[in-house]
Amino acid sequence: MLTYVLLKFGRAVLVVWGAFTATYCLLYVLPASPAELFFPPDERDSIDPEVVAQINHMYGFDLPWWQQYLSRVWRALHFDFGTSISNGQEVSSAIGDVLPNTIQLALVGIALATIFAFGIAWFTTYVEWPWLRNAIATVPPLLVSLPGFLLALLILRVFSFQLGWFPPVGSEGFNTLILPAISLAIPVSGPIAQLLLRNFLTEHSSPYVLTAYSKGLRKGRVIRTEVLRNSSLPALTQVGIITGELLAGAVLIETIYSRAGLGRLMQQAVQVEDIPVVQGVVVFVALVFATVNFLVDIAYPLVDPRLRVIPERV
Amino acid sequence: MALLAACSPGSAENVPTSSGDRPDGASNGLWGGTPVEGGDIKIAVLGKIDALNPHTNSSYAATNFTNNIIDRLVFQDRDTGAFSPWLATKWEYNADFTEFTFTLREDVTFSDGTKFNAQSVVNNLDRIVKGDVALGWTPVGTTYIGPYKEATVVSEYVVKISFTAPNSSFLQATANSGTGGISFLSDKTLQLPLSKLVDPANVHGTGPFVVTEYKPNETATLTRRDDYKWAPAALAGTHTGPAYLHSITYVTTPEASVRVGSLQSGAVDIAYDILPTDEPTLTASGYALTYETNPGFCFVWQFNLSLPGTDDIAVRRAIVAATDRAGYKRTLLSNSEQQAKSVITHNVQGWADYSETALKYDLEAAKKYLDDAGWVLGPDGVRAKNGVKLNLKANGNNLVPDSTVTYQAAQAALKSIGINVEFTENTAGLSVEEINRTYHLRNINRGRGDAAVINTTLNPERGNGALIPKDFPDRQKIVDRFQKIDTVIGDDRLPVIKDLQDLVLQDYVLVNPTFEPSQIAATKNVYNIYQDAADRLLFYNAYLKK
Repeated sequence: MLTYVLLKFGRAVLVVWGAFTATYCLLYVLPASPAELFFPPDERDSIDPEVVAQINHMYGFDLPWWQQYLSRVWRALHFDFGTSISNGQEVSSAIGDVLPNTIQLALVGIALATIFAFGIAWFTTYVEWPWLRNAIATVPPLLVSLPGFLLALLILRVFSFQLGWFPPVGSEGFNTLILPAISLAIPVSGPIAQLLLRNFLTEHSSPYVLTAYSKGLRKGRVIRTEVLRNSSLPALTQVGIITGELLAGAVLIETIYSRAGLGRLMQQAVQVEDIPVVQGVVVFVALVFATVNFLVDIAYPLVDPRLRVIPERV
Repeated sequence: MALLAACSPGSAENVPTSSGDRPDGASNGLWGGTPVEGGDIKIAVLGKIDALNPHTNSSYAATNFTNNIIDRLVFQDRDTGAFSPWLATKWEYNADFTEFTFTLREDVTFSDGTKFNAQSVVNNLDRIVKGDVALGWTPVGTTYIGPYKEATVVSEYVVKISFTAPNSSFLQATANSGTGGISFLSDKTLQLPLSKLVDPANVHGTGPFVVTEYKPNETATLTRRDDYKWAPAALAGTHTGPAYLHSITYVTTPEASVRVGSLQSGAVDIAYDILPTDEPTLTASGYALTYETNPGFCFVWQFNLSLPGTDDIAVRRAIVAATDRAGYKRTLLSNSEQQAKSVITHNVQGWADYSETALKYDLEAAKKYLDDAGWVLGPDGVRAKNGVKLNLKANGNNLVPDSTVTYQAAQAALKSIGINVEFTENTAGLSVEEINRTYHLRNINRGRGDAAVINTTLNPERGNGALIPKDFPDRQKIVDRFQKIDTVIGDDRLPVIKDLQDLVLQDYVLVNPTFEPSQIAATKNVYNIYQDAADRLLFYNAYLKK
């Protein structure tokens, strides 16, 4: 078990290091002159070479690349990704400031997505009429294929602009969280619902369910006590992927609802080419992603005893 | 020997009094009426307020915000270009424009209570030009301020600024609120590392508002200073004392439809950065639009004189003649955007109309330029000469939708005369070096309410926007013509500005203008929304009518 955990941990570290190195190469090594990034694109033609030299010196861009790389790795290990080019704020505190917003959004989003997904799966299994069952079963693919930004704009238009139930922008108070969370939850719930639905139907036609029925249990009770438990376990595998989807979705949702958050921090930083912030967010997201997947990996053998024999060969 | 500049205080006529009319009579926006004290408003803007430091921020959104927490030495009238006192009560300069002396108001304080004086001007100019490596302040101002030598305290309220070469456009630079504008922060603020300036409590200017709340990417709030009493007379007129509005919250709202929706649903009082496509809808539903042409450069393609194809003046003339600027105004542009009739916009002093001369649309003439110069149509519909084919690369600005449609219309017209243009809307991912090496037509649009912008952008010794190569035969002649603008002032500049436009549009054809862009605010209840001579917002006179 220990080797298994160490191997998985090593892989997680590798992922984060890879993300750091890849962003370092893309952002710092490839551009002809990182100093250009301190000026808006329009102005770059007319920068004084002396100023460029000063900036290069100030930020260490004039050192050999390996020296820059090593010093950046060392500082990144202390969560120091430098300061934002656009406002001088420390990257770690810029991330820290907006993180609670994104966590809130992601947690409420995933809670809603889970409720939607279980609702669809449960309902499809429960109803007796095949036409209705088929109709509901088409909902998850529909949710997956709906463009997220369109959905978010429609929700905003109806519930905020027309009905006026919720504020259209901002991140203060629970009121501002509802529409963004719903907009984030709907596309994320699609794949979960699809997986659950398949599991529900498979489990529902299993022999043990037939046994349960033959004991005289009602359908609602069978689904609740027998099917639900066995079919929701595989959803655990989805957690890693969903984390990624939530973060990707946050870029869009936070932009449309004008909320401060990790996604918007990233989007804005990319737009104005605020390289230290881009790198900080990419590495942070890689860290989150690697951690979640690491936890999922080590949770498997705990949840499913059959997996405990595999580790020796991984 | 010193020349005394005219500096009579602005008159009350500048202040709108009749309802519904802008000071200059144009009927856009809500103007006049009886101002109401107080009110907290929200304004939805496109960009994020990326920094609170007026020295280093460069984005439109950020300069638009910090414009309200600072004052300038001199105020520039947006319509006439005339200068009048602000923090400086008078100014003098020597005959060759290498020394400028400003006499300052004596009653001005920073929002932390410290006094504004000659030393403040010295400290701020030094910081803008030289930066401070230890504190993380980058030296951003050199490009804009020019050949700065030093600033010295003459007496507590008199400061002298010297240059190593003539710099007559410096006076306008002290009034400019665009990128690179000169503003003043208190010593306490200047002594802090740049990273501390994200905390509003550390940012102290002399302006009518102070920053009270800042959430990057989301909102930033200005609250008025009750002890403010040094607004420029030319802007304020009879209004003395603090601003009318109690607070203004900028809400960064990247989605255009959400900005409009937020306005319509009452979540914000003003929607800014309105897309031209939203103009008719908003007007039809009763919103008042306030707009100004962005003074400075039009949206133009700068020709790349160091690449084959655009190094031939006949090709450049053909491209200019094939661009139907009047047609774009009729069919593609919105009400607030204007036809480009020169390299600079019509509201810049010294502007001349070239729409019937150098910028005349004539497709037949365009073909003739190419025929006469020996560019022969190939079987693929693209002209060629001595092995060089007219396959050109061009870029645009993805943040301004109408620049894309006009550039695409130009692209179609050029195709019909045998010039194939590969247009890329956004080249932000490429380095300047690569764009300069591969793009024949490079977009630029630079705001500044002064014709000096032609010099800073296109002079081969300054921005060299047309990439005139070192061995270009007339290079020195061109440089000399550009430099002249920094050796004259006032009305003496007019012939020089005309000569620069001749140079750029007629004699060497360095740019192809397409249109004059604008900034638009929509509201139903906020009066006196003022866009200054660099098209940045000033909320000093604005008030909320419930």
